[in-house]
Amino acid sequence: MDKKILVIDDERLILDAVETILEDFGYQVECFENPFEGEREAIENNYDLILVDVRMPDRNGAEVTQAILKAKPDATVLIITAHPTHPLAKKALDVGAKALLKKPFEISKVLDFLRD
Amino acid sequence: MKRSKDFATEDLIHSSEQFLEELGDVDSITEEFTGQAEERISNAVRQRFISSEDAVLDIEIDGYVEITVSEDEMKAEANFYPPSEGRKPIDVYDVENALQSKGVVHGIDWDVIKKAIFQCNTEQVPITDVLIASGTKPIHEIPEHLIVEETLLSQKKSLDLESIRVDFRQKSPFVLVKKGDVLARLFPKQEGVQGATILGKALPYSSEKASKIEPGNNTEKEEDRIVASCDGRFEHNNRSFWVNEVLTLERDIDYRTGNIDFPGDVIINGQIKDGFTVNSGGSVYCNTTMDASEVISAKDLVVRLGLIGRQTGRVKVGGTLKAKFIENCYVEATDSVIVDVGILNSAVHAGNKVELQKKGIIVGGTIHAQNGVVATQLGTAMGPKTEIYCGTNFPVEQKLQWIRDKNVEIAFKLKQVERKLASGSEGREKILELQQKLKAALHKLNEAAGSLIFQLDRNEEAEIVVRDRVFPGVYIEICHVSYIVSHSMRSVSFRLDKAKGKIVPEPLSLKERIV
Repeated sequence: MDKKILVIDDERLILDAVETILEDFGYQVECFENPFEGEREAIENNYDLILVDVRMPDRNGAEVTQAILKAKPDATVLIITAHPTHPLAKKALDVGAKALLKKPFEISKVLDFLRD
Repeated sequence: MKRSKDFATEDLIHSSEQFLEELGDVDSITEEFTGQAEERISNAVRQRFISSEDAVLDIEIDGYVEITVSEDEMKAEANFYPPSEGRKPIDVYDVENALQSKGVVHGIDWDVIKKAIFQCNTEQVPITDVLIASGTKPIHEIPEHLIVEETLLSQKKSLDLESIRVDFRQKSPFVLVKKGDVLARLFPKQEGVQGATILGKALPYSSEKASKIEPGNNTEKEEDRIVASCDGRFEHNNRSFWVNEVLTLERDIDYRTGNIDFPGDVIINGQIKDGFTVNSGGSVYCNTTMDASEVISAKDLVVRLGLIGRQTGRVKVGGTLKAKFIENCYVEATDSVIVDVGILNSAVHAGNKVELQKKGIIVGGTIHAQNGVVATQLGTAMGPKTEIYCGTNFPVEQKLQWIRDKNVEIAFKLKQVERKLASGSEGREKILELQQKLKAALHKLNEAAGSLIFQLDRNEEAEIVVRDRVFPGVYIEICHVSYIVSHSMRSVSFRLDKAKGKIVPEPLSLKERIV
């Protein structure tokens, strides 16, 4: 599989786990702890799926999502959150995120969105 | 012969001496001839007579046989006496003559007779009380009849001591059978046969009455057996036996009934006491409120009032679940979940739809319904979070979630292993070996996940219909696409807009509102 996934999360443990698991599927996985760097990467390069943590210091997931989708409206962004009804999660959905993933992530949703 | 003679001689000496002693007293008795004296004389004379008889043994005689016929003429016993030295031993003809003289003609056991003769003659000892002829009892006529398996009749009554140490919830007072189990055996008619006494007198047979028990419902004949034609509860009375597919419980399910594990339908008219479980191979009907600790129904579950789960209550239904309300309960139904009034703080999973009737509300908890949800109200103004998931197959989701959990654990371990390798820890080879094992396990799980994802059975047409009002904060997901209700809406349906990849609320038509 040559699909590319970008993961933006300030928790290193989550990033490591998601990277390890998704790479084993054969996906190319890029991880960023810094939301600004991740956002820039998403805008500058093409990814099949972008996973964004909703709560990060300095820049939250809704803001990152909004910036990415403003630059790339066709991008598929999924929000990682512990609480699906968190106001920031709702905001991220309002700005165009497709779905919420319950932490650490939901494999079924990731695979489902990467299905041809 | 010698042994016999010695015995007689000793006896003779002894009796004689005794006799002589008593004889010495006679002179004095003649002077005073009282009743007491008369008795003593009589005894003395009798004793002498007996002694005289014994003395006869010392006379040389041939071997001989004595035969006694019982009063009922059903047996003859013989005493075989050996001959004196040099005299003729007993032979078969002697016995024949003796039998003839007694009139014995039937049931003579010549083998026993010959053996006794041989032993008597060779060992020179009397052989006594030998059963040499037996009468034949008549065999009574018995009509064709059924006999119910003893194990079925005794199951209910038996209480082994071991059960004192086991969980009584596991003890069932019901006799359960499976299809094909033998319930009774057919015994063919037994013809009557005339008997005979040893004197040859005929003994007529009689006709006995057999049990007239008949096979009832859910039984069938298989050769000489009656078997259960379905799984169920074995029941019987004096006239019939049958298998009941339905178990009706008039009382509570408690220590008197034990946990219910029944292959057919179960009707519950009482309460399910805390900690007791119900497992039905058919449908379950509960006529009251069901406090469900654990209820498993292979087919439908119908609860006339509410289904209350407490904190650990789990209900699994192979068909449709119908209830007035569901509260604090974990429910899985292969088909639809149909509720009258409301689903409160519950986790409900339906393979088909979750449908609430006219006044039905869903407040709190999570609802998974592959083909959609219909309710009058979703969420409340201040109430707990309500989450609705549609379009995907929940059991597959569960399996994928399990894989996810295991994979996350493996991923964390792999990171630890990498750190150890990077730090140059001891036992590098072992750590490398572990790393390979963990990677292999992760890969195997991912392969399984990759296959499962194609079984998710996405139903992109699934919709959530709210007849009256949906409150802000309700979380909706259709085919993994998320939507959070931001403001109160009335008479609305939520559908997946495939082109936009978004969930879109649409007002209900008047017709839809009424439906």
